[in-house]
Amino acid sequence: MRVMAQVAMVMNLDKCIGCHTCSVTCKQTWTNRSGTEYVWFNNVETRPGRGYPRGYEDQEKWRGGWELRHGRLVPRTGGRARRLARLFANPELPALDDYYQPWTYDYDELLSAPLGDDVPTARPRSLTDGRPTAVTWGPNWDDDLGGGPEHLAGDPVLRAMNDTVRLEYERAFMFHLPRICEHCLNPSCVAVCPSGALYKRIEDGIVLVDQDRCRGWRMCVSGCPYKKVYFNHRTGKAEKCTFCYPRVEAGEPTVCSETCVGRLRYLGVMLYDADRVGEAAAVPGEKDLYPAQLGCFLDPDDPEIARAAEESGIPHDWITAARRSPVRALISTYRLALPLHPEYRTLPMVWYVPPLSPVVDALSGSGHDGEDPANLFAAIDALRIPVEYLAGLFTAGDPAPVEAALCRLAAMRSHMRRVNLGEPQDPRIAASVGLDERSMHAMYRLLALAKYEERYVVPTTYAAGSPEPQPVSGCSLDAEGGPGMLPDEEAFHAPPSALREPAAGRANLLTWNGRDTAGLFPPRRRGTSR
Amino acid sequence: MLTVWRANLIGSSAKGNEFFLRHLLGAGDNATAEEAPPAARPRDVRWRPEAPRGKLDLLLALDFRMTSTTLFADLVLPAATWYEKHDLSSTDMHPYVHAFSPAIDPPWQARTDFETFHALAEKFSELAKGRLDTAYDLVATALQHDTPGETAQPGGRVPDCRAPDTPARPGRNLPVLTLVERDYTAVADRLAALGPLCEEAGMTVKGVTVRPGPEVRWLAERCGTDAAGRPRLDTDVKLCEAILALSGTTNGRLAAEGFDALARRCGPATGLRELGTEVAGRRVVFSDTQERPVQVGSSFEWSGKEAHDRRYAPFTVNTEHRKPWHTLTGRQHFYLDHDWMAELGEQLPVYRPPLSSPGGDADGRSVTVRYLTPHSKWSIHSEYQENLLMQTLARGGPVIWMSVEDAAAIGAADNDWIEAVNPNGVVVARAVVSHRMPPGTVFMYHVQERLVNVPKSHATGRRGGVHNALTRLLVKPTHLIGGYGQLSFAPNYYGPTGNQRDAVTTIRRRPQNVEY
Repeated sequence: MRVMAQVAMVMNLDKCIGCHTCSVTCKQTWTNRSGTEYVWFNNVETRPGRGYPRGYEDQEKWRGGWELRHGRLVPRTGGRARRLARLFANPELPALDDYYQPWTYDYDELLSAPLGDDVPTARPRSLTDGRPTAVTWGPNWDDDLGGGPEHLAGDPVLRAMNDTVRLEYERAFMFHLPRICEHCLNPSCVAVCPSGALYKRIEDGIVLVDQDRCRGWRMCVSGCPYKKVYFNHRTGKAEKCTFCYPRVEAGEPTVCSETCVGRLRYLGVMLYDADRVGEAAAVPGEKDLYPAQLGCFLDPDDPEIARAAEESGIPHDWITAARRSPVRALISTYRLALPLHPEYRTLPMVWYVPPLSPVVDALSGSGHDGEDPANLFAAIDALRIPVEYLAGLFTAGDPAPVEAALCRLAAMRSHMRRVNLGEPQDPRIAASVGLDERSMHAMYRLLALAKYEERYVVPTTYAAGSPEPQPVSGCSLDAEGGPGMLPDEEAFHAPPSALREPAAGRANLLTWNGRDTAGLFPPRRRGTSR
Repeated sequence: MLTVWRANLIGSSAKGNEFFLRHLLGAGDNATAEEAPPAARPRDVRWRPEAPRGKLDLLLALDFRMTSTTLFADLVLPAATWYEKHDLSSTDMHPYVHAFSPAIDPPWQARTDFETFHALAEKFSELAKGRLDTAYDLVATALQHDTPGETAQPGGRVPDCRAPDTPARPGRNLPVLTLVERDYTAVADRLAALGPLCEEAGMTVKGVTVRPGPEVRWLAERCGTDAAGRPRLDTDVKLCEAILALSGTTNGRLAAEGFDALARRCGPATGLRELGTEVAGRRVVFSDTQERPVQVGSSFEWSGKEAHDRRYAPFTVNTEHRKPWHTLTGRQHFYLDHDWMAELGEQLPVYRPPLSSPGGDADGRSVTVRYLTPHSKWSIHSEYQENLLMQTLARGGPVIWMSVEDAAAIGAADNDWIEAVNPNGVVVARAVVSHRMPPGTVFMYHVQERLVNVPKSHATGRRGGVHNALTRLLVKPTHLIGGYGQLSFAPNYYGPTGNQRDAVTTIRRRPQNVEY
């Protein structure tokens, strides 16, 4: 047994209203730079829907993640030889059109249009070539089922379903799925990187790109089945969700979590046995991957495990945090949270509490009491479409764990409604899902009240040993083209005038005048500074 | 002259946008509606054959971003944002009052609204000397709820003063008429101080009057006094302080005084006096709200109770303390026995179909549908959705949502340019085709302005957009009822509203080569 610790995330999809505050605050923090115009480390997609980039879940096409070949785990993109052969022409790399063509507007027109008898308007302009453009796709194009049946036909999860989904008014179901990098236990992006630039941090499991080692081969972009590694076309290097490591190291929640108005995100420590990871990722049956990953997690309340953890160098503080971890409660204790696409065999570490609301909505819409336990349990059983779809997302198609999680959520709702209405308690409700009254209340507290201190239990990180003197002062985010780089101090405080010249070598997406291309593309010849 | 301070008017909440452009501003518009035919014209109001165009002399806008209102304004004054000034925030959606505090001073030439209005007042007062000086205005006020006016027309009968033998009596069958002295040279001084009327007349909310003598003395000490000995309100912070001192929700002494008055009316068994005693010691000053949001307390001004273990819910003071509702019967009631309600058959809530019902002219190129303008999830009116990131997360410009069936009927695919036309105006937008929409109904989210990505209309050749370009105002006659219990005017609660519902529009797939 080799005990390791990871800061993991769970998102409660019942509470996501699709407001995209997480996406916007993440973008403002991390990818509000030239070269990353099209990049959303965090995005929220409406499901059913095609997601961002379009149809990323179609691994027949993109060949992300792992597959079992003769019982052996190999990246779907193929072994080293196949990858090398595609080093210069990689058909499994999404093009900008698969994400979207970023645009801005001729804002200046609103200020400088000559006097006329009609109001001016700011027309869209491409952020890549500066020419007038038509907006035909975006990172959230099918929001709230926009695009209808024609677009939904491109949803890989819907396509894989046995039941024909009738996409009609009154039968529509939808929910929002916020996505960040999964910070997998068995990351395929790390495995396929020819330069060894991607790595999974030992201390907290965060997967990062070493910007100095990255040579821009983009194998990680293909290798990640979630398409959560992006290519910065200005620096020529890969970038990805950092799990806001500078914040997490300080014990603070990620930006997407901190700003989530729905309080649906949870952060906490998971202890796992690193020796079991390879075996768990290679179980033959895809439906066994979820239980296999569950089997990797270790119980910090077990004194043996706590001792082993301390022996492996995990700080005492982290073991205490693991005991209080809301993520562990949702994943292991209550079995409410499920992994996204376990069939990719990367053992993802951002899990999801499946949404009960499509079921409740369908019930209420048909005139039933959507919170009556008998109705709810029967509906979870009968409403195969939402359940099968959720199983396609979270359990490689096995409806049983999804149904179990939904039934526990349904039982909690029914139980708490009785409490709120002062009706007599019925212990059979909790018992029917294998829980007791106390756990019903604890679940309610965690999911419904969702107190800040209980949602985010993040211990601080420190490097053991005496700190080495740093040769260069400053912040690690200050690499050229990195998020710590402001255009320059003057520009930061200057008025956002569309007429302002872009600061040396950089274009600011929010102040760009739609014409100049300076700073939008890397220089043709590599400068001496890189 | 119209001053718009950070509000959503032109190209936004102005219902019947094209008529605002034509009649208020005198700008070009897309409306094709004809004047009402002679038989449908009002009998008692003078009919002018030429409706006025451009009635407004000056449109002044104060804002910190470009909106349709600023585009149309004659003058735009740069305004400070919430992060550049002192202010208070409190809504009936949450039980807190909190301060806005400046993170930075207003940049460039921007000023806080407080400074702007005070500067305008000073200049105005200076110019008024020898010009406007002092004048007298006769001011008409509606028969208001919670005033004697609400009993002006008992039985729901309206004594029409135009009928013979029915004298006109202000406050009975005419508005309340008041003679007001206007010293235009003193506007700035009065704006910068707390006037004497709040002690002399008391402060009345929902029929309960309290007298803020101690508060005024406290404010005089706290803020200093002007030449007339009145407390100075010459900075935004002092004004915030005055608001907190004069509201029962942040000043328990006033709340208790108001609850006492209520208890005398409703009886000692209601426990209203005790409710006042519970909050009497509460006092919130501005620096408290700067430290953190402060919970407000129960007060006679509101119908809900507030406490550390109690969240606001409306009417809990009525249900738990047996305080009568402010209605004719003192209870919640639906039946309205006013003569005009009876005449229109609306004594009880009824369904009314749209005035013009959607026809089904399926010529293969257009559909006629009901047109709704719900609020969007990503904006407060036009704000926030116009930001580049939010446009990127949406469709990059104005859209109309329509059903799969209606889109098929006009041969439109998702994201095709469509044009919605009715007599009130024109909207050019992209179609969002979704099975989330029922056939026969489309909606355009509230306030997607004409600022970005709005091409010229194929039908009129002019810029066509804004959800309210297809609506117009309809005043419902029953909303003009007054002087009868709860059917009396109360600002923002009851009165003639601008009703723009039940619009119907024809939608076509327009040529896809658009011009800006």
